Amino acid sequence: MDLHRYAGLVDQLAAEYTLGVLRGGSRRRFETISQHDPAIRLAVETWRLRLAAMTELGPAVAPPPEIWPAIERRLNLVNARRDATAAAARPVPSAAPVIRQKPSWFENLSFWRGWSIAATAIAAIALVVSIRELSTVAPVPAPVPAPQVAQEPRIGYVATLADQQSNARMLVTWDDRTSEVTVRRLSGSSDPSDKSMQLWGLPKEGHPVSLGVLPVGGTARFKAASVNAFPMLAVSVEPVGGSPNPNGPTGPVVYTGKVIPAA
Amino acid sequence: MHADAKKTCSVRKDYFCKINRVAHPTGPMTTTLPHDPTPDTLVQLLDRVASEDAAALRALYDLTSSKLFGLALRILVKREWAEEVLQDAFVNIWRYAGDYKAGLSAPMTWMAAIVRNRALDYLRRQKANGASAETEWSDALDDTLPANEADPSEQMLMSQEARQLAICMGRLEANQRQAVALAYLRDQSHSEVADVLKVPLGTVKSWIRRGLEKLKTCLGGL
Repeated sequence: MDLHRYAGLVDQLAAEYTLGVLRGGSRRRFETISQHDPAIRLAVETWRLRLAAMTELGPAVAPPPEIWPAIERRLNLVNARRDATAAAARPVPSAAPVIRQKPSWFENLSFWRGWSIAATAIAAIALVVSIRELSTVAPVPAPVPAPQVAQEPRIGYVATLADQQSNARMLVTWDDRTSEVTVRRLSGSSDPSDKSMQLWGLPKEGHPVSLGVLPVGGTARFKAASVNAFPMLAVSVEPVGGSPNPNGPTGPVVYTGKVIPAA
Repeated sequence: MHADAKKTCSVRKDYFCKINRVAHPTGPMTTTLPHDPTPDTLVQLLDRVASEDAAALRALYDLTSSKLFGLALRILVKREWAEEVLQDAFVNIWRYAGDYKAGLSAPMTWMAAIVRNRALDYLRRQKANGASAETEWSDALDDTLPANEADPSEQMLMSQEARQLAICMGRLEANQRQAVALAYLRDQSHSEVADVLKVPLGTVKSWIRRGLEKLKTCLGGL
């Protein structure tokens, strides 16, 4: 069955799928079809993002005071604190006091892992939307405190850089106001030792343009020429200090992503 | 079916309306101090929790446990269940804080998703053990809850998406809103929602369908 023949049907099913009311055989069929249909997956991810905040709505209720001590006990935090004090003089071994198990629910949520390119693009858009205030997108007057807005960056462009398996590894944003690029490493992004990672803009024609060598770890922020000249960005692994060739990477390109206007 | 939004929101018990009013006061938020915690505060705390900073977990708990306990109660209704789930959730937040990606979801959304998943797990286990999980989706619950209008700092911790969603949920008719929220938060099917709300299946289907259509129009393409 071609779901796209009926206007609005894909979106309606995606909404009901995400909400959880599409059940049984219909749910399985929809999942099967969506595996070969990026448009459906995109619709589902969009709905996931729309609905995810539902959990934040609702009244707050103060939990009883005995809950925190119970959490502390379960995590052995009291002992950890004592050990830490006793061992303050010597370096702390890297072994974690708590064994980190794989959570089963975590694996089931494609929301968190294994994002398709489309999904990461949507996530990037969602981030931009959240930064730029959703109120400007939707026809809704949503007053926000003015000081908060003034401090926020004005994000003009965004790119999610993914590895070859489509895992999002870096998030790049371009601030119109300060002409700064911010490169945020997402978890799972690792810096190779004794190498530098370099950010490149890939123009439609001509050779790649270096936007900068990334400092090791964490979030990098630096002034750069506007990224809007480049439809794509890439990160390559280079000798320490950056590529010896000014006209392009010499090492392997590890992450790539499209530049998306945030407006 | 065409009651206007303001009238719908005059129903005092409706918590989405409450939130809506609080999250978007008509005047400027002059009472908000610059050092009030924001989503960024939560991101920083999660970052410290990821490196096993117990004090950061405590601070995170102080800032978010009421909100998250409210969510657990909303899903489970029974207090002792919600208490256990809140514990579980913070144990998980401690263990998986390192997996949190600030670029991909707001910190409150991430933590609330953990609570919801723990709560749904718990509900499934209770059902499997034969316990009656037929908990009322009780508007009366809101009556017993302290009003949350009083705490603007808590509203500051909400993600932008949640603020926007609160506005849009406030524009649905009360029965559409309730059906959509029930289906999502409790992961219930059309017929389960119909049972809880005591209306025919077809009615619930149309409430949810229309509710989702309105949400899409209001929230836009993201």
